[in-house]
Amino acid sequence: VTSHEGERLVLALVILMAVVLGIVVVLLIGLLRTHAEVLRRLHELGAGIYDEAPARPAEPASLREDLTQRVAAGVAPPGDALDSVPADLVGVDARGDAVHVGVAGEGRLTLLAFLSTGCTTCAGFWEAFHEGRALVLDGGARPRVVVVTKGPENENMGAVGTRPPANGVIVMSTDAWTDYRVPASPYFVLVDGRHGVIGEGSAASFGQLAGLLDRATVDLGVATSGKSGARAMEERIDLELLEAGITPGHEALYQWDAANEERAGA
Amino acid sequence: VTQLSGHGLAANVPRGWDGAVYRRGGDEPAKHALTANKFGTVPDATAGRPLHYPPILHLATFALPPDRGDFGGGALDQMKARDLFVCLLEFAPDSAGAPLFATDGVPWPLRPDDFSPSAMRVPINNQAGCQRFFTVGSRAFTLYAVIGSHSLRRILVPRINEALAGVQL
Repeated sequence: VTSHEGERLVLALVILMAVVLGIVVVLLIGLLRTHAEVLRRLHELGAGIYDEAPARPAEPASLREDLTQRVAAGVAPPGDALDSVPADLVGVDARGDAVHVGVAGEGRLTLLAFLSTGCTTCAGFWEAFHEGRALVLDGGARPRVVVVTKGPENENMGAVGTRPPANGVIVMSTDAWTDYRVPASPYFVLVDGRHGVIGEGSAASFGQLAGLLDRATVDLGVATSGKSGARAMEERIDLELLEAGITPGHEALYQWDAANEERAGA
Repeated sequence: VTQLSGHGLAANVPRGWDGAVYRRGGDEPAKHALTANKFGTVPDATAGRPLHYPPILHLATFALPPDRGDFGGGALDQMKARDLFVCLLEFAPDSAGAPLFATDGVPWPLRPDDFSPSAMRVPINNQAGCQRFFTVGSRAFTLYAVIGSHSLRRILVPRINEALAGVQL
């Protein structure tokens, strides 16, 4: 083989290798693109293998936000009343007389039952409250039941008056529905006079409502059955002092008699 | 504080209090309209004249039961030591000239010593009551106030006066 022919052979081999390399590069690029596409699809399906650990949800800013994050699929999230300051109810009763129901204040525990006479699901609750079926929370507390309908301009007064609650009161007040941001009826809001709104939601039956209330009080650790021992003792001491005529700032609270002086000295 | 009004009576209800302004209807049993015959100032139905169904204002620091008497019967026994109850009842117009209602103008502010257990219509535990009859213009009223504990009257009566200060006749 002459040197000339040898050069041509080497050149042919180099060209051949360049072509093969080009084909390999094209195949590699295609393979990488396919791989990237597969990964993208997997990521869309939530099975990405190179994802970082799932981000922790942000700390809830409020009780309502916390409950909203934990609510089960298919269940309406709680409304906006949670965390809000309890608002007293002002309206009229089923006869049209003015009525004001206090909700705020120490020791008050009130169940606001937002009902309407036209809703089918509400019928069971009208009946249950009219019969005086007891609502006893975990711990033995019995909330005061206040049935709240919309005002006379939006509700049938005659129908409202036919089923008064046996152990509660009726307030017809559209403002109350607005104040407690009631989304629909039936809807229930449990209000502690000191803590504010401690539970809210809807229920399809009286039994379901009782369970809802129990969860609200147990989840939040609200002592509905009574005051803590220390709190009760403080109130008892205050009461005894008041009954003895010793009010806050009374001089007797700051007197240090001679006997005590001696004991302190000894 | 929320304004509550009806039947010619109005009150600023303090936060957390219960309140109601009502008048017994004509279909109520006559015994509820009584006040009438009891004080002899209002003609009764047997004389062929209509019964007077008085306008009534109730204010209370506790949950008022729906089925209660005009002077708090059925409600006062639920009071705790620090609870307060106020009842204002308007008599028939022709009562205004009677000697019983000779006091002109509202009787409040009340003093702690105005309250006594013996003034309770029905004695209950350590509760103390105060009843006053008076006339405002041509309208005759009685005020019946109850405190949950006679021993706490110096603390509780100022709160009653705060609530009464918001009453408008």
